Amino acid sequence: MDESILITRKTFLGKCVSVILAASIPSFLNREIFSAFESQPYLTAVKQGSPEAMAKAAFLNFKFLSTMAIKNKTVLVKPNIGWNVKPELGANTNPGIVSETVKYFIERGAARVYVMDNSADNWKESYTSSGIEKAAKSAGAIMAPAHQESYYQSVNIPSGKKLKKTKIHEIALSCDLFINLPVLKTHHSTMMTCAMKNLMGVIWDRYELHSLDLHQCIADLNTVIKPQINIVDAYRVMFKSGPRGTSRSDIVLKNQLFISNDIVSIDSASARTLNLDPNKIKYLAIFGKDKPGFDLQKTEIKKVAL
Amino acid sequence: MKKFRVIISILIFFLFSAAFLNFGKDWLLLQKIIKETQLIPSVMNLMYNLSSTAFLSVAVILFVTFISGRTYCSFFCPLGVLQDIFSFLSKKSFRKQKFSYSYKSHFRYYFTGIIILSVLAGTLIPLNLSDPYSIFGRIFSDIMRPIAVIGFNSIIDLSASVKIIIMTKQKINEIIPYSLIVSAIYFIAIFVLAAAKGRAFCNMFCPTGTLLSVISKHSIYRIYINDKCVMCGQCEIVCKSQCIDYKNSAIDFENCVMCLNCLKSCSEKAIEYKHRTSRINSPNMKKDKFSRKAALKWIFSLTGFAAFGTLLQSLKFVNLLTNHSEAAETMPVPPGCVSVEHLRSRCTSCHLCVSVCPTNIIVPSAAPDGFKGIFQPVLNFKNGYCTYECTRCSQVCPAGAILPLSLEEKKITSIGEVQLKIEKCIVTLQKTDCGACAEHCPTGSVFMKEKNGLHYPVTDSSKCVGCGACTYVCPSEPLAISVMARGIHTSLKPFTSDGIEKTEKQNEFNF
Repeated sequence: MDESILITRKTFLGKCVSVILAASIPSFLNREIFSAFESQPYLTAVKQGSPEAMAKAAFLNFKFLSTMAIKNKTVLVKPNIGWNVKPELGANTNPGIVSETVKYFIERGAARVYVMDNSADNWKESYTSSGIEKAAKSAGAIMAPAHQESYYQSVNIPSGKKLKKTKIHEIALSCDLFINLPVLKTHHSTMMTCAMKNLMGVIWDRYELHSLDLHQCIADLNTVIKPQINIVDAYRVMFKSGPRGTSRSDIVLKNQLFISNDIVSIDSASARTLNLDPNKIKYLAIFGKDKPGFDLQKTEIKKVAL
Repeated sequence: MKKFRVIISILIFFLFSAAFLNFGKDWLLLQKIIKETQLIPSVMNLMYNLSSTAFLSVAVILFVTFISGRTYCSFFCPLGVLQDIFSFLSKKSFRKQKFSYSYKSHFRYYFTGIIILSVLAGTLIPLNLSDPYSIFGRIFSDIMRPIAVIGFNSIIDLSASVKIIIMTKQKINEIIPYSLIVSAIYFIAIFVLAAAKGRAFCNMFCPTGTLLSVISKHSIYRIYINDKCVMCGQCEIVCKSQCIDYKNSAIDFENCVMCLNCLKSCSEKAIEYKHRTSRINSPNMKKDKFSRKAALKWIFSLTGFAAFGTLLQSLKFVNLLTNHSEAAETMPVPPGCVSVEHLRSRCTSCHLCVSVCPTNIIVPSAAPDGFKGIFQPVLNFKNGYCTYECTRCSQVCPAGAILPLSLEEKKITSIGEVQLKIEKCIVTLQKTDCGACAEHCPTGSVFMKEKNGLHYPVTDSSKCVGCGACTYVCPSEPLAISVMARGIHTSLKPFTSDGIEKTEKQNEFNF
């Protein structure tokens, strides 16, 4: 066991106290867990470069990050590690982008960077074969497990229409900064899986969502989990057979990467990248219809070509 | 010399325990090595698959026995070492064991004869119940592993600091009461037998021990009592196999498991391990004095035995006896099994595959199905699904019941066929999108088609490998999608899994 990942007694007790305090305040469950930068949506789009170079350029050119308080914060980087497949098949987030993201937040003085996903396939195998475990660990992150119910805490969703209550991973609840790092793919039934749908990886029972109207549930989930930063890996984009993919021929080498503080903007931009109309993606339409980022008109977009 | 034996055997015991507990890290290499060391599974593999590696293992084991006696029983047999540990524990805690010489009847030869005949007749039940390696495997896989996992997980729960992050909890494999209870009975019986009678199991029931005895009777190096003997009787007291008759200075070497306790116990150095001399000093050898009559008797009985066995085999006697239900014949079994029949006729039920399966879908069969075998593995898709990128079970099977598959072969081996009941699907019932089945399908044999703005699942069974992912994730109750197991596995047309990704010439943002 890696020693750096062990928590000292002091921090543990601190966490216990904070968890108990939080649980004893009923209003806790009603507050919005993550305060996103609601104000102005920004989006930086980078193209033509290696995954690592694009990630670096994105961090450099995304003006939001420079003013962000990161020092001593606990950061959760949530890539898509859903599938037990090799990076070339594009079903999981590119490990190069994950490691650059982890490196960036560690350089900016983050106290701890966690990387985790509740994989759809066997979690251990997925962590390994996606290349993300190795990349994240060597960049200094902690690979957190998410395969057992005991890591999850029950959370109410006050504004949820179909999904009223779900179990969310304790790191996602306790972290200071939530970095959503999906990979852009088509999806058999939701048309697209990207930033909004990627949040299904921090909850315990994703099949509950499937059985209770998937689109509405994704929208409901997004009312309670609000990532501060969303980074979309559009380097290898799966244009068919998503989200798992069956072969490399499903992939188009798009060589792009987007970063935004607004999940609606980034999903809207991603939908266009897949040549889809954002209105056709029901969960995005339900959640973002009346949000400023939906038609990208009010989003401040910066385009960078390497 | 005894020290050497103890060190080796404890090492072997730990390695086998690690392989069967399959805990924490990946023990695949170890599991691949130990599967080659066991006699009975190797014999099955040699007999039915003509495997060259199995031939080598059998040849090496028999050759070593011919040279040195039944060293295998004390050095390499995990159940033998377990019995020694039981003896040791009972000696420390209850009472000092005192063994005394007892004449061994030919019971075990008849017993093994029955096992051989039953195997030829087409049932592995007697073999499944008596192979020492498989008994050890079942004890560790069915009892020790759940105990270890529960213990480990409760330690994590207790030390909550670790619970918040990291040391990850292990998943327990599904407990099959019937297999667990039988293994527990074995555990207790072997403990009692070992505490009371030393290696009695090895010289009464064990088919490996009996087969090796036939050879060790004629082995080149053996244990002798020489003229220095002062008739103190210490060696007889410590002899776990009760094969030393010190009063007659005789050692019944075919029953000797080469524990070497006697060598250590003798203060006069009157017991030697040395090259065979012309002296006949085994009490059994005296009785079996070689005569023409005896030779004829042996030849007749062996020929008769072989003829009877061949007859049973050609008749497929058990097939005549049993009336296999359709369901039993088409049970889901791991890829590499070729067919249910293939698995049934080879598996010694060691449960190594049960231990190594990362998704715990390989479980001992929940009840005896037919007369062909007992505790043999089946797949339970309720626990998970067969990982598309995994060939572990096929790599560790010692008996060749699950044949080794390369990943490419495994990916096109179909163990079942997808069956969709669209009227039970969430999309049909609730008119909301779901798509969990298509999402998980690794081959694209389940996919979604749009109709009236909703996406309905469609299946293409020509691509289905029967991994069970769609069944496992289906949120419908009752299940809308399931896998119909194949009695005989088939090979699909290879997929173009490594196509070329497209590159766009004009890389522009679409917004």
